[in-house]
Amino acid sequence: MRKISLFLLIIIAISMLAACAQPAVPDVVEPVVEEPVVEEPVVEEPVVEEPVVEEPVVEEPAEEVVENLSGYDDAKDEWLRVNQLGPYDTGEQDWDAIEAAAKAEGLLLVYANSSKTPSAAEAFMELYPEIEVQAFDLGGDDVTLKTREEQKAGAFTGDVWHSSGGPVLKGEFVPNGYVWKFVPDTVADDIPDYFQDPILVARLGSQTWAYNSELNDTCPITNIWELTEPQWHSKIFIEDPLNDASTLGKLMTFVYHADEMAESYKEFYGTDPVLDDDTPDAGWLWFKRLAQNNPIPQPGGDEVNNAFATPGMTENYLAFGSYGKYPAVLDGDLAFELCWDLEPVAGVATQSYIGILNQARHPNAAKLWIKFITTLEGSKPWYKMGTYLPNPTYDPPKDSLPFDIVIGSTWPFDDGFVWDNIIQARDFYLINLGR
Amino acid sequence: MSTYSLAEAQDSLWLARLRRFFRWLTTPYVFLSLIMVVVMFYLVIIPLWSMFVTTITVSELDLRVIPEASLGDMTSYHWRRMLIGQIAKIMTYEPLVNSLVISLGATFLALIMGGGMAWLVVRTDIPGKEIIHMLATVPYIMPSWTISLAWKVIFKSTSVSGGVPGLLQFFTGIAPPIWLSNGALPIIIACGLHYYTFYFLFVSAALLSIDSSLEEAGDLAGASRGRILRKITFPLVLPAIASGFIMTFSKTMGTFGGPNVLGVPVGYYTLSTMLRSNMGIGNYGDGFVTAIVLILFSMTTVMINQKLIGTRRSYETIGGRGFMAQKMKLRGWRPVFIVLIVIVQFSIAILPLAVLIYSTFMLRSGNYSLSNFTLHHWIGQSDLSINQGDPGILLNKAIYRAAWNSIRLSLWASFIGGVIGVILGYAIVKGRGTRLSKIVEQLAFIPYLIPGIAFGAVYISMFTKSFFGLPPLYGTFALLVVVSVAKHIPHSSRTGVSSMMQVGSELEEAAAISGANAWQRFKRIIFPLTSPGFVSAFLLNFITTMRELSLIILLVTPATAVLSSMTMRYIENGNEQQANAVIIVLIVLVLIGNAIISRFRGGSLKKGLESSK
Repeated sequence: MRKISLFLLIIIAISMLAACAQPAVPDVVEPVVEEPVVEEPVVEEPVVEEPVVEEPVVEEPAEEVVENLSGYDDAKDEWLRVNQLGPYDTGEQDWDAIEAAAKAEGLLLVYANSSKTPSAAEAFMELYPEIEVQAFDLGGDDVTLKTREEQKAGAFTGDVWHSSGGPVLKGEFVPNGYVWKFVPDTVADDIPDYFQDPILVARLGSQTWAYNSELNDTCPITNIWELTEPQWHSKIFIEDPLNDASTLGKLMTFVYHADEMAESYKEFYGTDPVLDDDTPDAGWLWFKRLAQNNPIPQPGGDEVNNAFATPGMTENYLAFGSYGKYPAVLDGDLAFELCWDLEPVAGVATQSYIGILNQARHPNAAKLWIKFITTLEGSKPWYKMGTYLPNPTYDPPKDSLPFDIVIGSTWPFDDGFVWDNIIQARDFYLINLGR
Repeated sequence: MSTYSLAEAQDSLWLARLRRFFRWLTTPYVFLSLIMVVVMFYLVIIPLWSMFVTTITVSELDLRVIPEASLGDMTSYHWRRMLIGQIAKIMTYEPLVNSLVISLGATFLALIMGGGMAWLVVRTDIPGKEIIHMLATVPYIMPSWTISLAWKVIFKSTSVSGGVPGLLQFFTGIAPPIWLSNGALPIIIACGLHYYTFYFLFVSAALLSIDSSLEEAGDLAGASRGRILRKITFPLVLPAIASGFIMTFSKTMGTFGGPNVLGVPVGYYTLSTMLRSNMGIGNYGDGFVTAIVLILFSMTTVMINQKLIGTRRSYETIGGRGFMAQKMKLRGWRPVFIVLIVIVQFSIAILPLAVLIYSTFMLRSGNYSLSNFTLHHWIGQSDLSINQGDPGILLNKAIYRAAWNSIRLSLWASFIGGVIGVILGYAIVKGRGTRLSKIVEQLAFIPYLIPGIAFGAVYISMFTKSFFGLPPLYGTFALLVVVSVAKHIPHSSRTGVSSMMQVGSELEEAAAISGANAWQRFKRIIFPLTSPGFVSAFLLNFITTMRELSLIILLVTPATAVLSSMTMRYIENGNEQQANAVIIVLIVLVLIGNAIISRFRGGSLKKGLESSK
């Protein structure tokens, strides 16, 4: 008896709770689903008829004001129209009005993946003391996660996306209208179009193949296929592509350029690439052979640098290194050079993006922030050796190689290809690793 | 009899049943259990359920790999892939075996270390107890990778980590074999040393409340010291050991730091590494399958644990008799144990801490020469050539705000957690053997197994809307408290259970006979006797909440940022020294908190306290 009543009670309790709780777990489906709260009209017939009468009334103002160009729900469309974003973006801005409105908003929340963002925020606040900037350095993965959850739940909190995460932007956030492109008219003509897709590029970095400069005079390899040769088996350090999606994406960018990889293959081996069953083109073949050559993964970028470029080493290694760390070489803390002359390219250029989060509460402050970041002054915290701005009219940072050399000897990180193939590529790498 | 109609008989039968039901319902442990079931249903089951739903639903991200499906369809894709697909062996089974090896190894090591040290501190005349007690909590406060890093400095192998040789190779000229430098063994040692705090706290709380006359009786009866330990002390602390086992085991199952530093270079991956890999590329379906596999395996361990302990359930050691705590004299063994403890504590608490502190005075990391000494990371003014222009942390206003948030959050979370822990302990122990008690115990354990980052992600979607009468909590400080309490319910309940198990029910029965109501019994008997457990739970929650990062990183807003999220900010751009400085501030705050909280033990078990001093 006791057991039965206990069970009954628990079942009743759980089902009651479940009933209350269900709406709190949001559907994975798009926001359109919120409509089906149609239970009431079935009971009260007249209510069903009313909308028929009302409908023309609704249509009229719609014709008068503006039609829904975005195809999103009314609140979102209204927000876009008021702030001239998405389909309502004219490409021109009235900066006086934006500044006034931004000051009235008084607050700005920036979701960033760089610890330098707060420094930029301070400079911004000196310029516009009326606006308090809360620059929120979350780290790339968490910017993505937070944005996705906030947008799906309709809890619009952040204002600015100031982070990497190109693949997600390209594949998910921009198509779904979670993040909106905004290009200030002050720089729109100077920044090449390919740095405005899917949203505006805030800055560029690069990741290139590198060697220990104490043990070698020049780069010991000249062709990218040499990385797959037995002499470099277990002799290449990379940041673990399993843990670091961005390293995986950079390696995938080589895969994407299959034709160029095939040409380099021919140049090095003298024949056309011999493809395997699981490698549709030379790009995947290279990726497979690289994995089989067992590059040694390291937990982070600093570990990679220490592993192949600590001064005083005796063993020779290669690594997938970063030009951004080159100041440490000038200081004598590390000893490496980058293989700028590698065939077909030395490495991959990476982009960090800036845009306005959908239905941000402080859209004008966000616009002002983006305009500020596109100026030399606003990007000052990042403006160091190895980092480039998408605006070629600005000189590169002190001591840096010219923009054209770095951009010219790298392939741009391909957001779309990486988004589409990252899961297969990760599995493929894992299956072939060291085997 | 004929005057009674059948209906009346049924009526009275129902009435009797109803009355019995209400009596059952108003039994304190039943009532409390039911409340706890409801609370945990919301805090635990719903998040878990939505994780499961994610694994069987086609998400936008899945459309890339299952193009023929449409959004929201049900799919077995993730489960098939992770359990029987081509990738299953590498992504699920090998990591699972690795995780189990590491967890069992680390748990065993932690048991010996923590249990042994607790016994030495509580039951023997070893000197310096307060220092030992304080240092024992240090490894747990430090980030989990500090011991791994220290290991790497000494046993580094250049063939997997490149660079210059480690200290061992530097001094002896012998390259350490790879099994010693990376992989299972070093991870086991690093995790075992890191998590021994659980055993130490639990076992010492249990030992404190054991009547040492039991051991003396054994002594009088002529049993040898080893036999007393084996036959009397060990069975009495078994519940605490079981709790420690669960905590250490599942914590190691979910740990990321050690395997990352020591396992990644040799491709030694664990379930937690794979989970993070999948979360990192936005593959939540696969990631949550891994998480659920992890949860199921740990659940199995709990059930085995319950079977073992549940059959011998009467370990009521605080009886209605008076007791005295007699310390064992170590005599000739004393110097041996002192040396042993000094070595252990030096290498796992003081050395890493010293390295951590020293690193905050180095202008450039890795350069130990005196010319590199600086106070910049602490009190430097903003200088663009160092730390990207960040001022020293003591001049940074954000640090003070974060510190205050950390303290506030930890106190709230550990207070509520401690109270829930005592209630859970009471409900589980008094109902032990009933199905309700088992359900409550199982539920209470689950949050531990849900990876922090997943917990945080689920909580965002739960609390962005009005939830069960609560206003939308997203972005508020209260949500941080709620999620911290929920995630740490296992801490609270385990300590609650292990201390409650020792309170004899005759005490409560006696009080009930003298007319004390449930609240009076709780206030006057149960709570005072279990307060070391409450303090332990409070302390553990306090420490854990102070350093928790992945759980709350998604829920904090700039206004509610805490110290641990500040360390993250510094680490991200290689600003390691300032991150370490923030960690030191954290450790100092925890130590202060520890010292203050420990004082509250004085109120109840005076004799027990004396033996810990």
